[in-house]
Amino acid sequence: MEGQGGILGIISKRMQWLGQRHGVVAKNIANSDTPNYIPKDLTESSFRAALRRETPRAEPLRTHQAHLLSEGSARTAKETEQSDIYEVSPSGNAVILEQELVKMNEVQAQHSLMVNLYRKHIEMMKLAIRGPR
Amino acid sequence: MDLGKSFFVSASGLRAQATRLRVIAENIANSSSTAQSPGGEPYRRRLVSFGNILDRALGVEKVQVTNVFTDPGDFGRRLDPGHPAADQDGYVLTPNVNTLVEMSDMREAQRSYEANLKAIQAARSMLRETVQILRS
Repeated sequence: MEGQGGILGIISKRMQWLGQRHGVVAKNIANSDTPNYIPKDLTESSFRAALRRETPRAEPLRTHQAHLLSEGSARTAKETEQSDIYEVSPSGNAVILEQELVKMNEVQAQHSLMVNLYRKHIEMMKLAIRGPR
Repeated sequence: MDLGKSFFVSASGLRAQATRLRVIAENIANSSSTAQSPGGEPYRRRLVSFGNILDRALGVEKVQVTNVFTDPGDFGRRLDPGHPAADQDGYVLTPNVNTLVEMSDMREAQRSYEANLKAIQAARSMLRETVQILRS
């Protein structure tokens, strides 16, 4: 009905992003004692970047089977090293366990928000189908 | 990386911290293991070092204990002329293990272990929430 651009598409994209962020946080926690490890995080995509992605790009036409398809659809958020480092241990490790746990909680809360939004939307559609009793 | 793969990363963290705890336990258990004969060396404290390793099958970076090395610090000395390993002056070399340091190291390993466990729990509850979309 609404396709990938609809609210369900946005929610599932957001959930994908949250899952990826949880992976990054889990990696930071696992590396909390690795020497010279700088914690990483995902960049929150800005409106401008989102707009640029949504507007159709000029792509070369695929006239032969051997032509490769562009990988426009399979994008994942970029993983960057955290820039504001609070403290670094003598071994060169900059992970702060508390900060990572807070991040993890944040991800969890947002994930449950997304799940509930999704469910609510489906419920409303069901209501519309069923009609008034 | 998705939620499923983050389990493997956290599990590798658990394993690395467990190895660290095992080495700490060895140190504490051997904190008074002296040599058997004069001129011999007592137990030398051991330490672990962590590193990253790329799991190609999963495409994730795991944590591993890269090496276990000995602490080059000086041994302690104790006057005990009756000891079989005592030198001419009656001194015995004691291991360079400080139980207090080992204890604080152990606490740190324990905290990291708990944090990894929390990460696994969080991933699990998020996955469960997602699956429960199907139920309604």
